[in-house]
Amino acid sequence: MLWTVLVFITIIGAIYFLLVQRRKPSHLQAPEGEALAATNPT
Amino acid sequence: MSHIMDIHDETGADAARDEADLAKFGYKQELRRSLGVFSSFAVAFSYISPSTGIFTLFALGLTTVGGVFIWSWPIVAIGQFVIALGWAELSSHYPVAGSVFQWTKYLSGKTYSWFAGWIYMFAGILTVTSVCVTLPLALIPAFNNMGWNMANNHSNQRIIAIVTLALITILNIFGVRLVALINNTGVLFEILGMVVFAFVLALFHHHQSGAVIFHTGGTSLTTGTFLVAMFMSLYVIYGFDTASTLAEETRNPRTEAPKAVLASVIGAFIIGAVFLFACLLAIPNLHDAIKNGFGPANIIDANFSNAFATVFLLVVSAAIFVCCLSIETSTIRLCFGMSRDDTLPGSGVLRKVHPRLHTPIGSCIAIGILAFIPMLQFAGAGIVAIAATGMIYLSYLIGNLALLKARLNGWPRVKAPFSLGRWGLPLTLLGIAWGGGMLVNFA
Repeated sequence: MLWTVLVFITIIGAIYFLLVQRRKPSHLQAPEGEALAATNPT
Repeated sequence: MSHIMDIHDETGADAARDEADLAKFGYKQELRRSLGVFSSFAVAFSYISPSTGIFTLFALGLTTVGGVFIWSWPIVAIGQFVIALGWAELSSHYPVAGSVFQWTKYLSGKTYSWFAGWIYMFAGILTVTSVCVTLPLALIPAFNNMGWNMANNHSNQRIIAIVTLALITILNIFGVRLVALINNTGVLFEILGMVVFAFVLALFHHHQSGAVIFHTGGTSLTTGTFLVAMFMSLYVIYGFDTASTLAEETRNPRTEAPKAVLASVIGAFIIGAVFLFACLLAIPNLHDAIKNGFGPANIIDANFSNAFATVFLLVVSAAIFVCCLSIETSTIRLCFGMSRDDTLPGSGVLRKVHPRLHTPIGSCIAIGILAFIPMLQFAGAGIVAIAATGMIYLSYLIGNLALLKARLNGWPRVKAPFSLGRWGLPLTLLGIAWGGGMLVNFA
């Protein structure tokens, strides 16, 4: 049950992310030194 | 009344300081900042809600390994407290709505944080559903004790769950002050109720000796069965990051949210341990209790009059109701936090905050509707609970992996009021080992 639900939600999410979110910029504004992702994005 | 309950709007220099702090993250103060440390603790405590999980799953633990199952409580509490320490430090650095999503966004990056937030949001939605469908398990017997004669079947359980979901969604729309007022009252009743019942049971109805916590009652105790029995404790002790996700509504959140995160785990552990021990002491016959799948309601029923048992069921019902309320509040804040960054479908509607109520009404309604969907295929509380709990543990693991990577890259680089210092890295590693192990247990 856990894996069925998880896989279903992840697949729906992955489709939406690839179609819509992938090209959008990330909101990374933060006090200095707090946005580690701005220097080491993944 | 609300001042007594630690709920009042932040004003003056304190408000200006917290607004300026939020502005550094690029966000405006739109939500209502009116929660003090008690309210923040209370909303996290009621998400954990020891009485809800113990009421629902005590029988699972007891029938699997007898009284020995109580040892899963401190083990899970310690494991989760290790994770809570990391969350407390993160909440001191990132006092914004959205917990795991926001932390991973700043620590790890866009794709990782988006999936973390997406999975955590649906874990929250499923948890709302799972707790809403738990309420009828206490409420219907309470109604019947009062002479209502309501059938305890799936149909009636679903109706009560849907009404509960509608009520908590409306309360959430009407604002955090109302939610906190109801929640704080509920938490006080829950703590008082559990402590009073525990002491009465332990002092006046102790049929078992203290050694009951070492008795299996004829069940087979192996590592495998103990891990199964552990599910009760695993189902209870999570959701402590709620204190962090309400940071934009908490006064001085960098200092108060970490305290509330940790206090909620400690408080739930103490109250739950006392109540669990008292319930075990008050079991009239351990073998019969295991054979018949006794839960706290049966134990109270076996020791007290019908009226006393009804009061217990009503206290548990109130606790479950505020539990539903706080889980939905937390999930709404995550939905709001993600949509404010334009990362969800319909973000424009989901992030809009009502100017008078100071609540993201679109997010409230969306979470309410999404939590309703699993109720259409309702197959009992247990199935939804397993999926919800597993996904929460997965989300926590995702958060901890991002935290580990960040620590290896030198995080934290700036000081915050709460810091783990040199203990940060080992505790994060321990949290990952614990969370990963428990996730394997769910699978």
